[in-house]
Amino acid sequence: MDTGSIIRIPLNGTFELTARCNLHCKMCLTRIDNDAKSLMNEKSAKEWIDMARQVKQAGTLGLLLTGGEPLLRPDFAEIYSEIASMGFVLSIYTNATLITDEIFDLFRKLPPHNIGVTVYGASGKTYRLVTGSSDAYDRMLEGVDRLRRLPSRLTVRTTIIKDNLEDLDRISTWAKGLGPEVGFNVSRIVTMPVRGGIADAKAHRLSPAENVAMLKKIYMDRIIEPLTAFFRIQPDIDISEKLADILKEREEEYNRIGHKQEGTIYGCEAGVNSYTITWDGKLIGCQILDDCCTYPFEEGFIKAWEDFPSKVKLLPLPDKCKGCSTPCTSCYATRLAETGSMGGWPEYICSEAKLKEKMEEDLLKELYANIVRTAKSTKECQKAVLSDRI
Amino acid sequence: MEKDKKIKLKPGFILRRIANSDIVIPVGNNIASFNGLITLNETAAFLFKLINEGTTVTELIEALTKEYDVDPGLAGNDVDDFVSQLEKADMLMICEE
Repeated sequence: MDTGSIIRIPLNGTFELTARCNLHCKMCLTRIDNDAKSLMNEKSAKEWIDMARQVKQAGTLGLLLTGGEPLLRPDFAEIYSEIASMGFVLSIYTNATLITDEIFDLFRKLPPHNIGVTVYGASGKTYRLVTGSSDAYDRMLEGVDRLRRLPSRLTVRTTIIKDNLEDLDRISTWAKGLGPEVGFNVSRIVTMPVRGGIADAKAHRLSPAENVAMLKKIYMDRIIEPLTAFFRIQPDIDISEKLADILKEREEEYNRIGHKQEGTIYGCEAGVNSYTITWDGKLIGCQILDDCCTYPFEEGFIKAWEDFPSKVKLLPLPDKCKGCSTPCTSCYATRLAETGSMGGWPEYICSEAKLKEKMEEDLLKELYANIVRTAKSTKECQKAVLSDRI
Repeated sequence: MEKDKKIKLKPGFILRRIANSDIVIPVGNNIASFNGLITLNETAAFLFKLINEGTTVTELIEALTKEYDVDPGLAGNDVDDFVSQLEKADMLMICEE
């Protein structure tokens, strides 16, 4: 691909230190169980440290250390202690089940700027169902209890499948209980595994309808109920204009992001301002996008980064997507994960997006009616109180 | 700040040149007081590098005056402002003689 006038700076990098994990989640994107093969192909601590020096030189500011489970590597401390003082905005994704005394001491001396902890349930029973390990739940709680004592920004991240759907409320309540400074994210959608990942996400992920029902509940908790409560105390604000603005912004955002191609390679930051280096040493656009790669450990990061766009061969949008105006999560990466081709039609994502669009339209109408009703009854209450006083 | 006391940056504030900007990144336990980034303009980056090596306010004023051919009074105000901001952010230490 000719990137011509695109200004490319490798600002945000992901180092996928391993594809191995101590948990065996049913929906994992990347986990590989063949430990012998994986170990043989993993890059050494020395190689990752050298790579960090190279990406620093090339201008990387944000660096994420992830896996698999990065803390599973026996040489994690060696890698981390070098990288953490180099001057990156450093983030770590972990399942928090391996926060040993050694790791905690390491983080206490050199806390990362951000820690994302993946949480898979609100009980040992759910953890056993999702990850194959029931004691992982208690170890995660102990790990989070340690990590929250660090000055790092902590975010609880969860991925919901059929086996832990019922736990979502309890995970959310628990995460909120950690304090207002702790973030909470639910994965938007579960895609099929990539790069030889062995999990059977298709069998365990929510159906499109279940995923949208979950999303509706999240909207209700995070947006609709707080908004309704707000209009209960501010009944004089005319919301019709505000709602029109929200709809307009939503459309503009979709046009900006959903169809954005100019100044990008894949329609996003991948390969332009961000990159992933996989556990086996390939430079790819993002953790999902392995349509092509270069080899930074062999040819050096700067050359691998510079050569990367020339390897990209984009495919046209699938016919079924042409002319479609429904906002969706389909992109080159998700199409590749779902269908094996960047030009394939991702049926699961498409069905989910159509249902989501309908749900959001209905919800907005409901919200409007609810707020008008709330404002009206609040005003009537206020009038009644006033007339009582008079 | 006494003008002839030798000052130095505390360890763990790293100045990097990224995408044509000078950015200070706190690392280690410095993030407990400031988990963010500081963008410096050209003169601030010039001063920051000198303070990182260890210097005095007087030396900073002299260096700024010489490098940018500015009036010593103006340079003095700029240095005082910058040093005071670093002090407030708990980024400085006084070097023992």
